[in-house]
Amino acid sequence: MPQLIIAATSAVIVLPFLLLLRESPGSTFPHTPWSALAMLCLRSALLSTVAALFAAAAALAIVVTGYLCLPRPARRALFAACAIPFLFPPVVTAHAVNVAFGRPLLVVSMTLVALPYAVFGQAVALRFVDATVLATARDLGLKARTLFRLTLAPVWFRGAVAGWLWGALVLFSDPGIYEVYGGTRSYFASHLLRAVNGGAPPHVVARAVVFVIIPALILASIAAFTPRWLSWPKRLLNQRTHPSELMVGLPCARRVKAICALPAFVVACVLAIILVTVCRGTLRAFANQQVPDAAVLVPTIVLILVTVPLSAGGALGLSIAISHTRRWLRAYGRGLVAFMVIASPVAVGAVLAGAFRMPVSVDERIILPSLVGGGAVLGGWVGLLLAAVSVCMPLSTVLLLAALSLRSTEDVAAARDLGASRVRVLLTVEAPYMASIVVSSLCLQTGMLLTTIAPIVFVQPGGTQLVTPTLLILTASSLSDEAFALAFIAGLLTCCAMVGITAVVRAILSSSEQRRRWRKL
Amino acid sequence: MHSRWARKQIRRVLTLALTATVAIVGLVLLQPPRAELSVLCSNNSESCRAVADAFEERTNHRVHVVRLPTSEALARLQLNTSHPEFDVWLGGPAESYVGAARAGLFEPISDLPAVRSLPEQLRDPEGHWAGVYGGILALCVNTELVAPEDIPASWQELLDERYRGGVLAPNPLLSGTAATLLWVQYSRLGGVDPAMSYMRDLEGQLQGYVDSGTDVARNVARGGAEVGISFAPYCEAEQAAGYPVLVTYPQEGTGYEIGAIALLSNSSHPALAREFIDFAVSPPGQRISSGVLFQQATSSQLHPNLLEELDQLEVSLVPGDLAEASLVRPELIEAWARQVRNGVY
Repeated sequence: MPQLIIAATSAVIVLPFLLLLRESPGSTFPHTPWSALAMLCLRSALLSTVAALFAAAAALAIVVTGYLCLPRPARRALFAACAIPFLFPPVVTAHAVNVAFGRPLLVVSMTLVALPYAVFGQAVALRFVDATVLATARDLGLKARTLFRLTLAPVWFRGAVAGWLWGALVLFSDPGIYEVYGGTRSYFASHLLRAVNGGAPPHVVARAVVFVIIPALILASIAAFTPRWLSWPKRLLNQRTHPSELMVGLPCARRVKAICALPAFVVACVLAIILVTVCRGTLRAFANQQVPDAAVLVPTIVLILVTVPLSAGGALGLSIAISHTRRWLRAYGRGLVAFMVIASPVAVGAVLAGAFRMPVSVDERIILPSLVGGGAVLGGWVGLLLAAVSVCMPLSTVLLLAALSLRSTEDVAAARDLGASRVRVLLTVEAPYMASIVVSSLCLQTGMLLTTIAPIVFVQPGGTQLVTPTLLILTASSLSDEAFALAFIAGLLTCCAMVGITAVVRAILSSSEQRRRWRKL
Repeated sequence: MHSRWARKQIRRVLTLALTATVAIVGLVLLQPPRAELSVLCSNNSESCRAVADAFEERTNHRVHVVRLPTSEALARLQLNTSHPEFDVWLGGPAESYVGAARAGLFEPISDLPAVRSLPEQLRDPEGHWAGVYGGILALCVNTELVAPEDIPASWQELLDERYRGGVLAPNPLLSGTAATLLWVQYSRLGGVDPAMSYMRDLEGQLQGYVDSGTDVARNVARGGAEVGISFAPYCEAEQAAGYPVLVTYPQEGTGYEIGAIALLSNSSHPALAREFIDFAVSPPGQRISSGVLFQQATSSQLHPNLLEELDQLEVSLVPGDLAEASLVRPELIEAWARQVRNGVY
């Protein structure tokens, strides 16, 4: 069975790539030279990584200020403020910068977009430091600086790199910000979107996505044989330390505090300006009765309600299948998941559109009808669902693989000895260990579907309006108030979904023992 | 089920599943009822919607309007999908319609009374499309950002240093307005190479490309750019809405669009689609459309109409006719992509 699941997942991933190799006789669509494509890809990657690096630096200042200068409630408020750009698609953040400062300031906008990922990476990593390690090290009489170097610094560095790369991938994959504010320069994501919308045949799309798919394949192969990234240590369940305790003891703490406080304050002010700009626009839109249309929100909510459980189920199946395999098949499964994560959503969108927009015929008999766009079977919802699942499932699978590595085998064995059924063991013993990760995964999926433009914009059928493509149209038309009102409601929906999902999972795990474990997590 | 715990869990799971099902069904029911007629709109969406609303009121048939820029719409129609997506294509320069008619994408509509009453030069001689509005390519200037003495009066002036980074143009790969811009340069400069040379120089002045001609006017009106290249009615509509914009026509000559309408072959509702086209082309339909946007009517019963406006235009029109423009259109877009953009968009 695990082999079958992995094989089926591979087939679903490989099929669209094979369909891209079809020739389109008579197509006059202008080819892009390889050299131009390479330059395009390089420029986009460079800009994304540089902006994400600025975001990582800003996040460093924020995290240090948060842990060194602020009490817990203020620190939480600061970290929560850094999540503001995550609530809106990148193009809305850039539009808010344009409205607030009179210019789009592309790099600043991109830095703000990458900020939540950078802060999340660093702040979460710091929470992984084990308090017992800290206590033992202190008992051994280690200096604060040595302690920092041995415990906090490596974890922090890994978190910062992860946040930086995640932010860079998000920036690279978003066509909206480049399309509206890229100027006359072309960038990979906007180039692909314009090519697909301009009717690029499959082989033209294939030429372009090669530049993303091949690096993704190489990185995935490397990741497949370095499995540490998928197995988190069990000490995560131990009592965790407060990074502020450790950082305050550092000899240079005062100097670091002085250096970091000002940039953190500036970033916090910019975020506040962005939020105020969006809120003002929203209020103006409501005052002028430019209320977002339910025809935009309802299909998006339906898509989320269908996609999130489907992706969670798919991710659960795939992660359990991988964890039940051995040696090369497990490595292959891990590589597959890594490829799904690294393959840029913009490439996925272009591949889906290129592969499934036209029916596949053999001898004039249609063997696979059109699945994407208007006129496709089921109104193009199959394509939309594929795109949405490709956004949600990879990250869920990674998180679930990590969660599976946290299972307590002793507790499971004890529960089985006491006569508990497999289902009961899963729900009462194993699920609470995974609960926080499952909740994070579901919240992230919902948030991503409400804020990610690619790949959905590539496969959206003509008659169906969804939140993020509509926001792209509104910002491109400079209809600021309508865009801010819709983005605000989408952000509100994300927040509500996060609260709702947490409440539902808490309700499911409602026995006193489970609640205790839940709180511990 | 012997275990009390298991019974409790089943109740919970069933409650959760029921709630989710009710939520999904409720949301699906909230969706508007399925439209009977699907219209692909390459004109300003408000204008298409106004005509569709009036038609709905007259016939009680629901009309669904999908807005796409002209070239993007043409690319979409040329895809050989399993099921027809749209019934009617409304709006966008007729050059695109000529090419689409040649590709067999349309059904004839020449027998419709409203189409027959149009002047001959504003409808397809073979009856595949009909002109439903007109617009003249112009420069849309934000008067708050550009001083009165600096308002550009010609294509050449647009290349002046003072407009560097302040001009907005539509993207020829997706926009019909941009295709008309390429045609105007080709026609006035006398060939593909000089036209591309001008477009290369113009690109140095551009703030950026947008996907649609209507977006150009909106951005200029809201201060997003100093000058935009678009059809005059889009700019005049912003002016009427109170935005500080002004229309100027380039002295070297300009072009115009015949915004067309056509019945798509394999339409699911051909009879209803023909009824819609007849209404949209008729004087009452055109009056509704031009009430939203200041596009010139093609019906000779309405005044001022496109032919009258062209007669009174202070600047000359570039030479060449619709047939030539439609033939050269793909070549111009390809040349722009290759020579100006080096294959990237």
